[in-house]
Amino acid sequence: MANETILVVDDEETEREGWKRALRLAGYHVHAASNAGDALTLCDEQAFDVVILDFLMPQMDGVELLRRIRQKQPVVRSVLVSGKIQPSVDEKEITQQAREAVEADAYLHKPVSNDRLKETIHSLMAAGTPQTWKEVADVVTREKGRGPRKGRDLARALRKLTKRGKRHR
Amino acid sequence: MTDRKSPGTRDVPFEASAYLQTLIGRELFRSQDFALVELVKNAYDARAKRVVIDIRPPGNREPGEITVSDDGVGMSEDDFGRQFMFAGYSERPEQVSRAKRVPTGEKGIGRFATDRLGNRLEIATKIKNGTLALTTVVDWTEFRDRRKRFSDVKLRLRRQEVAALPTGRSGTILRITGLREPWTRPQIASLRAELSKLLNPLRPPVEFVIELRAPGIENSTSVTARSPMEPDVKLMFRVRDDGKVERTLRGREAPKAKGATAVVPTVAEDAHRLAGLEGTFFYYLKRPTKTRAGDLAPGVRLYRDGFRVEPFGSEAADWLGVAEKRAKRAGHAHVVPSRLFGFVGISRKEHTSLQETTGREALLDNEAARALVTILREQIGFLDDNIRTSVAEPRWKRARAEKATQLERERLHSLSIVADGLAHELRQPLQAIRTEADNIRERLGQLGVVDSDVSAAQASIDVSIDRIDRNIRSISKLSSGDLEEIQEIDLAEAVRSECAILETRCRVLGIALVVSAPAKQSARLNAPTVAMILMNLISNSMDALSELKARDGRRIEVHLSHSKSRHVLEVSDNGPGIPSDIQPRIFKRFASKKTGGSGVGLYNRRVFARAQNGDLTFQSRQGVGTTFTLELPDQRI
Repeated sequence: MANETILVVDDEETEREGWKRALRLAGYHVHAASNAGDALTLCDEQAFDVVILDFLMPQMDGVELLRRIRQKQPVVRSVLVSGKIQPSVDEKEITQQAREAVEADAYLHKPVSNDRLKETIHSLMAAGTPQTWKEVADVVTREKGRGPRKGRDLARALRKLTKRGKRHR
Repeated sequence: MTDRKSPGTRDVPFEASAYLQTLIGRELFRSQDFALVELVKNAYDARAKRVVIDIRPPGNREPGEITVSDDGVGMSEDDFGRQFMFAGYSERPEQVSRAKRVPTGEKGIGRFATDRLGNRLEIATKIKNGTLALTTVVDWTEFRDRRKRFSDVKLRLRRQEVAALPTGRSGTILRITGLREPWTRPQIASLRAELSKLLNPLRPPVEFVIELRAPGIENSTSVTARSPMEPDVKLMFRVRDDGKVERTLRGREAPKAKGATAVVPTVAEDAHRLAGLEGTFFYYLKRPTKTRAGDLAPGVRLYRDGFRVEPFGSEAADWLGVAEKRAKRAGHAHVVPSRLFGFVGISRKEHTSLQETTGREALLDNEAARALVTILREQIGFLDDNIRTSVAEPRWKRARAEKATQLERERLHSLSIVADGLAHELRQPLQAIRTEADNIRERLGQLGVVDSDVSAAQASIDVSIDRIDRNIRSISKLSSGDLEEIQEIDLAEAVRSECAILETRCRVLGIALVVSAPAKQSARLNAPTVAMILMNLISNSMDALSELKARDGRRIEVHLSHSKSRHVLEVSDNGPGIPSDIQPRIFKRFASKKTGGSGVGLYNRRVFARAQNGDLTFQSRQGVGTTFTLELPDQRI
């Protein structure tokens, strides 16, 4: 059934190991990174279907990391997990920026049950058929009259293509 | 001086040039209005009940005339010679004291006022007993000749029947022709206004009506003094025979004064000489509209026997130094001149020493006048003291409310920093527990293990995680709320969830925390306010109950209800109650009886609740318990 490849990025070991175990038990191929650097290295090595990121991490926050990952892998689906409930004003701003800049595909608030996590991944995968790089590049070329620039162009084109209107919050 | 003539001496009489009259008539009566006002006063002095001023402006064909007729006592031939023809004569105060009505004029020059109005004056006057009236014509131009002596100007008196003065009636009719003014409508309107200002609106002269007939005035209307509308603060005072001042302050904006009358001394010397002086000050907290002020200009006016004494209270006159005081002391003199309307009544009979100068521009500077000013200034000072509290208090209150809100906001901010960190710290292990618990379930499922004990253990873990989560959520909510934000919430649910946080703590102390609230009570208000005050009250009750020796029966009841548009939240405990000596101070700062309590909690909470138009009150009986009631209005628009 589920044989998607998932990347879990979380600095907290217990949390990370828990999710790793949960997803493995659910039948996914799971890779994990404890920091942004490792995560980006992994992204260079292979493609992921879904990346799960903790919102707050010491080196680089989840939003920034997601932006970097998107540059490498525009088609990746993302789940941002946050430990906060009501972000204070500053954080509201950050989240707002985050949404505009990267638009994580789903936001989840801790504590997240395994069922909820699996459900989210499932619906993200069902929402749109994964596009090949070629297809996406074609769209960009057709619309803009020039070759795709890595990152934003591709991400936008992809979103348009897949019409992933529904977001999980 | 001696009556005996010594040889070689000669008595030389003073003589006046006829031109003196012109000087008096034209210079002294600075305006037409003022001249007519003088004639009205003369009519009043003649004990008239009614005086009619009829103005017919000069037109193309008609020369125009003004008639002033009254139903006063009139003049006999003897009176005429003695009074009218004798310039500068008027009844002396000794005679005045015997008269029924106190004459307003005392200079004996009012008759020259007609010169200011027109060249020619026809007089018809009749006393009650006679059948024939006395008539004469004065041609004021005859006085223009400077070489002529005053006594050279002669009037021819005639006895004749006058239709307007039939047998049995008395009165005087003055007909002025050769008018000096065109008497346009604005001029007539100004005269009307001037006449209405002549009378004391609060104590008008008794049995006296002024009627003005002129084009543009429908029919004939009597001129009445318009009184300003009820002010925010009203001060009434009277100088008593013993020289003390009796005064009453009324008004919804003067909280200190509850309408009680007080007798106070004055520093004015010989104040008893002003006994009978009465006054009323109207003070408005906002500058009144023209209608509210009865079309009167602000200022303190002086009335003698109901008639205005000019120029006191006119816009230019700051005779009591109100404006000056305010200019000098800026924020410390609270009486704003443009909001003060004063009506001070003096009497010619009783206050003989208060005399105007002939130019009618001031009171003769004497002790009585100075005492008058002193007394009035004292009253304004008293008014000042009282409006100070009532005007300034809302500003204090607002500042206090702002301060309380600020304090709460700061408390909340530091709480939110702690709560945020705590939430983050707690959620991480919580997430791990959550995930691993699910993993165990999953793995056991995969292994095909079905065990009721394991299921029960898992269910218990789930419940516990939920509870921890709910508590973290509540704390975060509490600390991250905006104190000004008005939200639509289910208050019943909010109250229940706040109480849930403290339930365990209560249970540890053996306290039953009982919540009674409707299933749903939607409200529009600031949720953190309710949450904070509720937490505060419950924790106070917990402290109170901890003082009880017995652990049994400790109980806190939280009851939510609403009346009209107000939400009512009661927190009752059956603790020892608040000692009666502390009760009055409970909402004061630093009144805490708790050791370690700062004592600002309740004080601040109340100010805070009041800042949102709500209130925090309590009832307590020693040995029975305490109930605090929080009332907050629904902020629905």
